Amino acid sequence: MAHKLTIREMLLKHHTIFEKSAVESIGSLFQKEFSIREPWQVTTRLEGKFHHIFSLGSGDEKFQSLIVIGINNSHLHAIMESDNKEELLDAFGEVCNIYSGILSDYTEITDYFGYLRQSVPQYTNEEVFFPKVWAINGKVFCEDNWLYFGCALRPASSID
Amino acid sequence: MSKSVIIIDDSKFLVKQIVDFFEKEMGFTVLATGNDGGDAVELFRKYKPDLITLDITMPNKDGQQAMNEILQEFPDANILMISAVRGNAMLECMARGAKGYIEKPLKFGNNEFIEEFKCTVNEIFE
Repeated sequence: MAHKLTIREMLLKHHTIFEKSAVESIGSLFQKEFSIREPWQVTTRLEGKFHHIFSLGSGDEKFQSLIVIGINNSHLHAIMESDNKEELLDAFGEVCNIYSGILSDYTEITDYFGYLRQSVPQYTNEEVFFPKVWAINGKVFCEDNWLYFGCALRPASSID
Repeated sequence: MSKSVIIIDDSKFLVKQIVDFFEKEMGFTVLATGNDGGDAVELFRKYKPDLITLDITMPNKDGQQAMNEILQEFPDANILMISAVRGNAMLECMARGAKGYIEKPLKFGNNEFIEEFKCTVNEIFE
């Protein structure tokens, strides 16, 4: 009987899907060249302090996910010329939305996690800290500027 | 006389791109834009366009709810869903009366994508 992979094993096995989906999602919105320079890491938390943080929760009966994008002002303006929080959330929130959708194009992901229904993107300019969860995260580069992408997944909590 | 369209998406960034597409590639007249399902229903009632595009995941009222309300009042409405949502959502929308579905990301820099988008829109009016 085939061993069912753990979430950690899934993230390790399919890290390139998470990486290239991030590149495709942000590239499609901003129409710029983005790339991965170093493999993303599988960690037990999402953590980071950025000037701007965008998050998108998704879920179904079996799994929940949180997608996070973080970016500092020193790198932001190479990608988007705005300091307006609403405009930033508009654009980067949509990147989160698209990222979630692109991940769902891969049967390797949906066969395991299903189709997770997105909620509405949120903005914060404080620290993201989401502990005790398997996550894959890393940097996406635009020339020498970068932003942080993270995707955390866990079994859904019962609402009974 | 050019066809009319209303564009609904919670991303103003994307609304601009979709407006550009309909005006420049399709020659449509964009009557209005909106950012949630409430706008969609209100604007459809006001303008009764030839076509309305709806995102699915939006604050306040989502696109599927807006679609259902529009079709209840205007059963012949032409509705094109434009969304990053995958899975059964597309099939559900089509089963409930949407005339087309475009998956995000919207690759307006890609000629093949533009042609496919045009095709989907043209098929709605055939």
